[in-house]
Order: sequence, then C-alpha cells, then structure tokens
Amino acid sequence: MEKNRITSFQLFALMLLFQMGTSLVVNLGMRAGRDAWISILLGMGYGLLLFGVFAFLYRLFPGMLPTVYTQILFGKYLGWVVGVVFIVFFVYQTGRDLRDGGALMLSTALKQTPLIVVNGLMIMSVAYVIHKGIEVLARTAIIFAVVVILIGSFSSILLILSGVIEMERIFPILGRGIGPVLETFYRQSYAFPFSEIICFSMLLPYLGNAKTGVKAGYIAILVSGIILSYTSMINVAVLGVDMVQRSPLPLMTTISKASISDFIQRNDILIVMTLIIDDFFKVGIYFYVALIGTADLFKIAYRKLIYPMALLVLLISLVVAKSLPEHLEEGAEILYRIDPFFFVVIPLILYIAGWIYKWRTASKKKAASSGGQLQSSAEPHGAEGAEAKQPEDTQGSDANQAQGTQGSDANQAQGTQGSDAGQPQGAQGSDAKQAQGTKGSDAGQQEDTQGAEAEQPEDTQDAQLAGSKRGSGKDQAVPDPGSEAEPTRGKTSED
Amino acid sequence: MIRRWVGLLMLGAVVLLLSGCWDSIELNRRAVVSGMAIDIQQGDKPKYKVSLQVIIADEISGKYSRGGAPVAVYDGEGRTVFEAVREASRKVPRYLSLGHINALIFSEELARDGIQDVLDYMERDAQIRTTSQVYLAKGQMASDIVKVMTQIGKIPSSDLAQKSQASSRLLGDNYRVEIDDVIRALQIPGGGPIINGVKVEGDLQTAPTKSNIEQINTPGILQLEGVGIFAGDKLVTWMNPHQSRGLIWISDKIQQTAMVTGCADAKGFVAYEVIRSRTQVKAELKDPEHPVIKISVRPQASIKELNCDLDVRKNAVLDQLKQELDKVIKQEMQSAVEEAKRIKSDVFGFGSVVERANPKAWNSLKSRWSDVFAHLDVEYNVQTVIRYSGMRDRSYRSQNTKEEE
Repeated sequence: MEKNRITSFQLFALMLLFQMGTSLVVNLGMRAGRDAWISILLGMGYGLLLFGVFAFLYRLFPGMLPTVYTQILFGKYLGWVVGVVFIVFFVYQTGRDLRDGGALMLSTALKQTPLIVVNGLMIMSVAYVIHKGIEVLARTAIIFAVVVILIGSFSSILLILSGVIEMERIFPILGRGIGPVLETFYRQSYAFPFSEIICFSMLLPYLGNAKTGVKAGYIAILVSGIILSYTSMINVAVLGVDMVQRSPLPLMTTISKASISDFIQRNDILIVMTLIIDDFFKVGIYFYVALIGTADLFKIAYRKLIYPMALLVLLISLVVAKSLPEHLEEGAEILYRIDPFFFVVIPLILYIAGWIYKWRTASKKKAASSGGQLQSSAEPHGAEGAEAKQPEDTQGSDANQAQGTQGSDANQAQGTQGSDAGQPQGAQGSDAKQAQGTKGSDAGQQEDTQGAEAEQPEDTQDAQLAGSKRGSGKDQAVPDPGSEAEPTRGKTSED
Repeated sequence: MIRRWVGLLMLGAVVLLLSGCWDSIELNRRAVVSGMAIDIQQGDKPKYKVSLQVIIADEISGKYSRGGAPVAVYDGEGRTVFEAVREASRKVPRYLSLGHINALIFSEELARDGIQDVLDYMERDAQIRTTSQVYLAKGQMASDIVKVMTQIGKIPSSDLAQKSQASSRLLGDNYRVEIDDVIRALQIPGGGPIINGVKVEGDLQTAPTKSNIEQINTPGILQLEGVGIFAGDKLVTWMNPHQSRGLIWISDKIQQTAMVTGCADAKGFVAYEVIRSRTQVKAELKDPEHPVIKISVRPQASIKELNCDLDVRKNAVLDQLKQELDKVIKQEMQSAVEEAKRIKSDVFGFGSVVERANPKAWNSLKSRWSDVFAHLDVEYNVQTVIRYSGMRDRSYRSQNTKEEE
C-alpha cells in the first residue's frame, strides 16, 4: 500500500501550471473591460471555495477517488452515472484544451502547419508522460513551473524597464459599476480557469501528506489567481483596454511591446513557450483524470486506455469546431450554460451529501456506543439521506467482515503515511475525541480541532475500510491511489 | 517482432519530427522588409499602392557587395494593404518577411482621406510588431520617403527611426509614435492620433541615387517635419514645432529639449536645456457638464547659453528667468490646445482624464465630447526649476565681474 505518490509541492506546481494553462495568454475576463482583474480575483475566490468542498470530501474519504465516493454518497447506480458524466466532461475538456493550445499556436506562430500535426504531437507527448505515471508528470511540473515563473518575471522586468506600462490605463476602477464585473464573473471567470480545479479532486487521493497537500492547493489557487489578475492588469496597462478586448491573445502583443534600446526585443517567443508548457500540463492533467476515472468506473487498467483515449481526445480536438472563432464562441456562449452543472450544482450536492454522510456515521457511532438504536433517528433525511444510507448500510456490515482481513493492512498504511486516521482499531468503539487526545498520533494533530472535525478519524476509517474492501473484492484494475503493484501488474499482462 | 516494428516506426517518426519546423523559412529565402510606405491612388487604379523597402543583406554586410544600393523598393497595388503586399511579391524573389518593419509611412493624401482602413492589417497580422513607428509624408508621396539614400545609417528606415529618436531626445518636438498608439488614439471618442511628419528636403530626383551620399552637401535629406494632428482618422492640420512641443509637454513625453527666452529686462536671449520634466493632467468636475482640465508641469532646466548681463548666482535673477521660462512653456501648451480646440480633436486624451476623474459624467459627455472639448477650460501651472548654470555663472560680458575684483 505505497501511497506517497505526489508531494504537496508537486501538487502546487501542477495546480499552478494547470490554472495558467491557456488562461494566461487569452484575454481572460475582458468582458468586464479594464476591471477584468477584479473579476479574476472573484473567480479565484470561487475557486478557493470549490477546492474547499473537495478538500472536505477528500478528508471525509481519504484515499478514495471521487468516482468511488460518489457511489457511496449517491448510491451505486446514480453515483456511477455521475462519475460517467464527469468523465465525459473531462474527456471533452481535454479535447478542448488541446484544441485551444493548437489553435492559438497556429494563429500566431505556425501558420502553415496543419492542426492535426500540432495537436497530435501534443497529445503524443502527453500520453507518453501519462504512461510513465502521475509521479513523472508531477516531477516535470516542478521543473516547468520554475521555467514559467522565470519567464514571467523576466517578461515583467522587461516591460517595466522598457517603460511601456502606463498604469493610468487601468483607471477608473469600476467605472461602469460592479455590474459588468459580476456579469463576467458568472459568465466566465468563476468557471474558467478556477472551477476547473474540480479535476484535482481526482488527484488529491494521491497526495502524500493530506494536510500540507490541501494547503498547497489553496496556495496554488491563490498564487495563480494573483498571477492571472496581474497579467490582465499589465495587458490593459500596456495596450489599453480596447485593444486587449479585441485580441484573442493579448499577452503576445503586450510582450512584443517590450524592447530595451532596440537590443532586447521580439520576446513573443517566450509567450509561445509559456503557452505550450501550460497547455501541456492542462491537457495532461485533464487527460490523466479522465483516464483514471474511466479506469475506475469500467474496471480496466488505465494504461491500456491511454492510447485509445488519446486518439479519442485528438479526434475531439479536431472536430470540436471548424475555426478558432467558432471554438472560442463555443467556449464563451455555450459552455457557460453547461458549466454550472459541473462547477456549482454537483459540488454543492456532493457537499451536502458529504455532511449528511458525516453526520449519520457520527450519530450511528454514538448510538452504537450508547446502546445501538440510531437507525430510526437517521431515517428522515430527504433524498440524499436515503441515497447515502443505502451503501452505508451495506458498508457497515461489510466493514465488520473486512476488518479482520484488511484491518492490519489498512492500519499499517495509515500508520506509515500518517496522513489519515492512524488510529488503532481498538479505539474505534470509544469516543473519538478521547481517542485523539490519548493517542497523540499524526491523525490527532492533523485533524482540525473543531468538534465536528474531531470525529472525523472514525468516519474516515469507516470509509477507508469500505474502500479497501471494495478494492480487494474486485480485482482492482484502477490505479487505486495507494497500490503501486497494480499498474505494474497491468503492464506485464499487456506484454 | 511487433516491438521491432514499433521501434522502427518510432525512429522514423523521430527522424521526421526532429528534422525541423514545419513553417520554417530559412534566412536565405527571406526578404526582410525594413520599411513600408502606403500611398492612396485616385481614379481607376486600385486604391492603395504599397512600397516595400527590402534590405539587401549582401550590400549591408559588405563581403559580397556589388556596390549597389543597400535596399530595394518594390511596390504593389491593391484594394487592401494585404492584397498590395502580396501583389508586390511578383517582383521579389524571396518570401516577404514583415516582422522587422521599422517605419510605416502614410502619404499626406492618404492621411487626409482617412487611415482607418490601412491599420487593421498592421494590427491583425501576427508578424508585424506594433512597435513599428508611424510617419506621415508631409506633402510628398510616401514612396519617396522610402527611396532615399541615407548617409549614416545604411538602411533608410532604421536611419529614420534613429533620427526621430535622437531628435525626440534632443529637441523634443516629436516623440515615438507606434502603431498601437495610433490605434488607441483612434478609439478615443472625439479624439484622434498625432503622427510625426517626415519629408525629403531638397532634390527628390537625386535622393534615391547613389550620388546622394557621395556629396558632403546631401542633395536630398530625410528629415522630420512637424506633427500631423488628426480628427478621427483624418489628418486635419499640421502643428508647428512650438505647438507640437506644447503637445508633448502635455503628454508628458518630454525627455530633453532646448528652450529660449528673453533676458528678463535686458536685451538678449537665454537658452536652456530641459533635463527632465514631469507633467500631471487632472480633471476637475465641480460641474459635471463643464470639466476643467488642470495641467501642471514641473520641468528641470539648466542654463546653456546666456547672452546678456545677468548674474545667475543670485536667486532673485534665477526666479526672474524661471518666470520667463514658465511663460514660454505655458504659451506653447496654450497654442497646442488652441489648435486642437480649433479642429475639435482631443489629441491629448483629456477625455480619458475626465473618465478617470468621474466615469459617470464621462458617460454623459462622451457622445458630444468633441464639442465640449472645443470649449474646455484648461488651467496651466508651470513650475520650472532652474537647477544648474553650466560651467560658468556669469557671462564673460558681465560688468559686475570686473567691479568685484
């Protein structure tokens, strides 16, 4: 049960690059005119909120993919369907982002090159890295995050030194009132790019250290939001709001204005580099998430899926639109009607269901310790409650069986990784708070000290058991975040 | 077996992919365009005539030089600029590369007709950088401007760009105007761009020939000539050097400049060099319908020439000179503002200043801004500081020197 797969810093780098992918170079939020930077910051706020939801769910079900816990929360069938819907969305987004990168490259740098060549090369390199595993992608991310940040600072210095920044162009702030900013927020900037972090919910289970990992996630969203907001400000300050609004890639023009005594100039290539790097990681992460989701839902080894899926994604990227304007219009005019479903509705339902689940398990435990009559009190709880109840019941009974076989294993893993409930099984019956106080293990220190949170180790343990039971029950083809042996087995069988 | 084939296939792919960039065009197949001149044609001819100044690399580097001109000018005609550029390629043996255009020159005729239609291509094309400078050929064909042999710089366009840079630093009655500056200015309601004028002074016949650079007295010399101011996208009038410097005072683009004033009470002149200057433009909207623009300029000057009997060691004298200088600067700005008001074109961007001060008032003023601008109250506040007097304090003609000793 090796679980330390990506470190918190790697997650930070991945998220940073993911957030900046394509959104750094496009005219983000320019519907709000020169106040785009405000709407980007608002979008960042929403991103933080959304990440909080998934961090909560992650703490509730540590080590579990969302495709697994939606089945716990929504019931087996509905949960599975929700999982599939998300996977479809992820695959589509992979294709879109692939197209984004390709089309932007073609319209600026490689005019003669066919789209399929650029997209094909990109998806091939993405598929290669994914084949090597998430760890490789994460390690690559650190290197490239450094490169991107260096390019960014260098470009900023160039722009400042060449004196093309006229800050007065971003004034008046909120000249047209808050209306356009809010409109931009709900039309675009809450979703793109900040809500796209929902796909990191699929990566969180791979974290080595839950607490610092989640913190790194928050910081990454914050940093990327500030970078994007700053970029938008610089664009307007250099080019003026009108020109930024009219250009699909304002950053290219902005950077081409930087020229130091006619010696250091024509730095647009830096932006093309940034575009390629960021787009690579965006496509890579979406692709990986889509892959492991599919693998989990259909019980296929994810490495077997890489190349067929790559072809599918390539195809989507080619047929998604016939021109760049159509592609962008699709993004701006159609997706904003669909996005709320993925970025608002489902996370909200998941969050509520998560709370209900948590409350139920907690009260069940209390009842179990004080006599064992709780079920009746937990019954009247709306549709979600009922849905959530079903798997729980089975799980409850399963857990007991599994405990004997899996218990020691789970304990070991938890003990070594020290991120989740590293609490001895024996303590389960007693009050969680007490257990935490006495044992002083990692779990106790890392959980929040609020009353509600304090009960978490028990919940998580239940969940973990259910998860591990599931894993051992079926021949697990998913790269279950935790098992290193599985993928390798998959590979050998391929040969 | 399959593995081997896959490996071979991969190798083949690698060979194909590493062999280079799909779009690449080697340097020896490119014709680097250094300048572009656009003329408008009347009558049955296609609308635009575009003259491309192409660098002949062999003539520049010298080794393989045949002793010809360093650049060649090719022209093409078309209804749009792009069509004309591509049409010109019939005469050019190489792929036209527009990424290095230094100077973009419009003819006065075109400018009076409107420059709106020619700028879109410059902005839209990914190759052309918006850092290219824009000029107006004052009273001449734009194509004449790109056909001048220049003495110091071999490439006429970069020679022109350097001239305008040098003169904006030394004389300060023009400044670098780039493509995006022009486009931004076109967007200002009731405003318009300003573009530096350029002219071939002297013999237009000799200018394109080699004999132009064989004489000490250059027969045809390329020089900057005034600033054209636009209302909307149409050139309306030219500013004289004083007015254009007033405009540059207001736009806070002064780097250095030379000023001359009288000698307070005495006869003669004093010349100053302005070392640096800072201008702030603010709008006051006590009455939202009648904005007042307040311009405050803080130049720092040093005395360069003193042709009268003044003792500039004394603070009182410096104060007097400062007053004189303030007055001259104020007059320059006033005359620029009057000229702009006369043609009802807000070339200074006062509209944006008003917008920053009070966005709501601006919304109601925006539609009739050019009329409001024509009756705008402008207040000037010049506070010059005379910092240095150079290597001497009094002039050699001074009387008090002898008396003191």
